[in-house]
Amino acid sequence: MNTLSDTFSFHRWRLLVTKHWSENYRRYLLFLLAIAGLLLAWFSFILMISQLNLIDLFMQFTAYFTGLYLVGCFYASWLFADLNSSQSGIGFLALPASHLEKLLCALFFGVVLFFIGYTLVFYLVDIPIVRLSNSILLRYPRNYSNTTVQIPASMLYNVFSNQAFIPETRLFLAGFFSSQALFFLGSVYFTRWTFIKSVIVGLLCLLTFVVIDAKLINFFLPSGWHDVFFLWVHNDADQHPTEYITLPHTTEKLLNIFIAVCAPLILWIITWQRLKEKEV
Amino acid sequence: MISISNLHFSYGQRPVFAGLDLRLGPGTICGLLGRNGTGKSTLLRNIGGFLFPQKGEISTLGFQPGRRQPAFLEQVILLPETFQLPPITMRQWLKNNAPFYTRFDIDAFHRYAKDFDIPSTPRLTELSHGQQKKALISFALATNAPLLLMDEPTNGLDITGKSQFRKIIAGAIDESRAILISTHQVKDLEQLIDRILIIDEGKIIFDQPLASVADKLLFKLSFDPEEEEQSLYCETSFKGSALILPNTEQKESRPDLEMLYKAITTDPVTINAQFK
Repeated sequence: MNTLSDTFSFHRWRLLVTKHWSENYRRYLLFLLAIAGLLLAWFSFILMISQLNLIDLFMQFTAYFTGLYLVGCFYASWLFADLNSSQSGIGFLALPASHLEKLLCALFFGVVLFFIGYTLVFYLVDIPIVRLSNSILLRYPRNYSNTTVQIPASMLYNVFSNQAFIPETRLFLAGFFSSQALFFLGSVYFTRWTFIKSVIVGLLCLLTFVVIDAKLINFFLPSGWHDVFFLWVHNDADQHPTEYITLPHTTEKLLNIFIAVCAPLILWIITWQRLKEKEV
Repeated sequence: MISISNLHFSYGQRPVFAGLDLRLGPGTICGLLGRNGTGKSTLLRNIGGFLFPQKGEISTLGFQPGRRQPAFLEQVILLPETFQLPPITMRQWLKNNAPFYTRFDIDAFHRYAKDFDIPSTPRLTELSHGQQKKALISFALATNAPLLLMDEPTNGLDITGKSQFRKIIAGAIDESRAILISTHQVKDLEQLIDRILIIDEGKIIFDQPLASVADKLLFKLSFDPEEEEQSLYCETSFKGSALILPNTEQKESRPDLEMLYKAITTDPVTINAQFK
């Protein structure tokens, strides 16, 4: 029977965090520098080729989330890389700490510190680049194509709130934690090619969701109705006004909470169970 | 310390153990011998909780190894044949890992490291494989864990290193501790182990204290054809015939582990019959 101290001890968790940091901090600092370099290179490229509003909100949004998803998921699948071989796997599993402490240590670095570190680095690059972009626009004003409307200065993209003309930021953020959780699970579940196999599983999940949404739900809808991702639309040949049915507000909120909180939580719990069952 | 009953384990369709039983108490240095691929490392990993039996029960120090509870991991150290150390200094490595082991003795670690002549380099990864292994053995001993499982510990050690290893292990054993050493380099364990376990085709085919081996069997070189006829096992060479004979007259001889191993794997029934 497991006691509470067998499952979690803050002292042991702190020791794990210290050990992980001490063994990897150089790698992490280089990693952050590489991210900063890549963002800087990308934004510089955009500044050079863009004829219109240079570094606008959408540009910042796509750069932030592309980097967050790619680097975050890759990092998540690397954190349990020790388990991929018996020589490092034994060292990892033999350390006198519980599976929960080992998972929470990985989540602390992979989710909390990575998110903070990545966002900080993004803004360290983004703020001066947006300023530079705006100063170029100020110095060399330009209009939207075939209009006399002048392109305004860009705003700074806010990662934590929804902004006009930008896809639902909160949903993208929530989706990131779920996707990353899938990569954590993949890194414990698979023993080789963990990242690629996790990508394949993620794409298969996405495909299943799209097929269910596009084909299965439409199959059950009455004639003239079709489904557009939890929004049901009716338009007929008699030119009646288009009708919409949305999910009730509470259901939609619950669905958002599921994607943001429950899905990663469930995947983390499965990862924990899988870690307990891991053999090397 | 270790109690295994009816252990069944297989890698996919390939069975490794089918009903293995074993008991091991404290105060022993036990040599686990066997051919390559007979399951020595698999047995150690089952005892250490890194592989789970498909059937049967294992109890190590009263724990179910597969649960890998921190209290269990603190008391059972598995030294694998191959390992990976981080690219940090020895001091930092100790600072990172020693606090996990409440009975860790830092002075003992430095003593073992000195006995092993481990050089001080900026990083652990700059040490040779043998030196890294010595550092790991020193660490394992300094944890004061009651049970040490060592998988081919002398692989990668030079001649001096092997003799240092024997000396250090012999000095580290006491009544509260047991060491189970798996190896196919039988000569390395001579004068060190006090119990011999031979594993073959998933079963323990020989399990005796070394004192009992010396008591029941006589190891000698002989040119006498009559003795050769009576022998349980015989190896001819230009120095004469190396024989294993029943020790009916209670003569003293030093067991030759390599020969004993060959004798048992050739004809386990005849050799085991001497111990009944």
